[in-house]
Amino acid sequence: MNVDPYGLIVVALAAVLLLALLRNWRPDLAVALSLAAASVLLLYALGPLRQLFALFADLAATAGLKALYLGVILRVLGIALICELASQVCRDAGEGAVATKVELVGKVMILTAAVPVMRSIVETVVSLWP
Amino acid sequence: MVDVDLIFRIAGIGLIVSVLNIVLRQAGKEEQAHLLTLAGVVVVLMMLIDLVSRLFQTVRTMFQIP
Repeated sequence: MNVDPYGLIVVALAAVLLLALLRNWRPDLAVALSLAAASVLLLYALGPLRQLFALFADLAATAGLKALYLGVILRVLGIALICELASQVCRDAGEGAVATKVELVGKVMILTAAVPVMRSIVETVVSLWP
Repeated sequence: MVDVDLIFRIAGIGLIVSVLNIVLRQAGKEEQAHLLTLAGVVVVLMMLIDLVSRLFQTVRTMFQIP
């Protein structure tokens, strides 16, 4: 899949112009429009990213890295992406409290996803202990 | 491919609802204006839900989130 940045720029600029128009008249629909623009842009970015992830998997297999670690890294990236999207939308809508909670929950979920790696580190340290 | 038309559609619904809101309010029909606002939000959310669920499905499959 070849990447052209022009489509992205067109979407972003159109969304910004329409948002500037809409935010004065209907702030509730401006939130929906900003969420739609964010989703479209992220979907646009995720297509080419698939190739990059295939490359990462090949590199990890070549380097002899456990598949578990790459999976954990990818999972943490995904959770961070989704939580960042949600918290930014909340913050744009003026709800800073909900945005902070979303970020907090995202951090907890990232820590939970990283539990296997932390356990493996602890096991390595314990096995090195004389 | 990027779907710009959804953004334009949401903005168009917003403008139409806003204009109709002004017209209804000038005609003294406050109830209908409120209902129209609600209907506009619901229609936009129905359009948005498909896009957001597609984004979540893509992220879930790509980042291997169970």
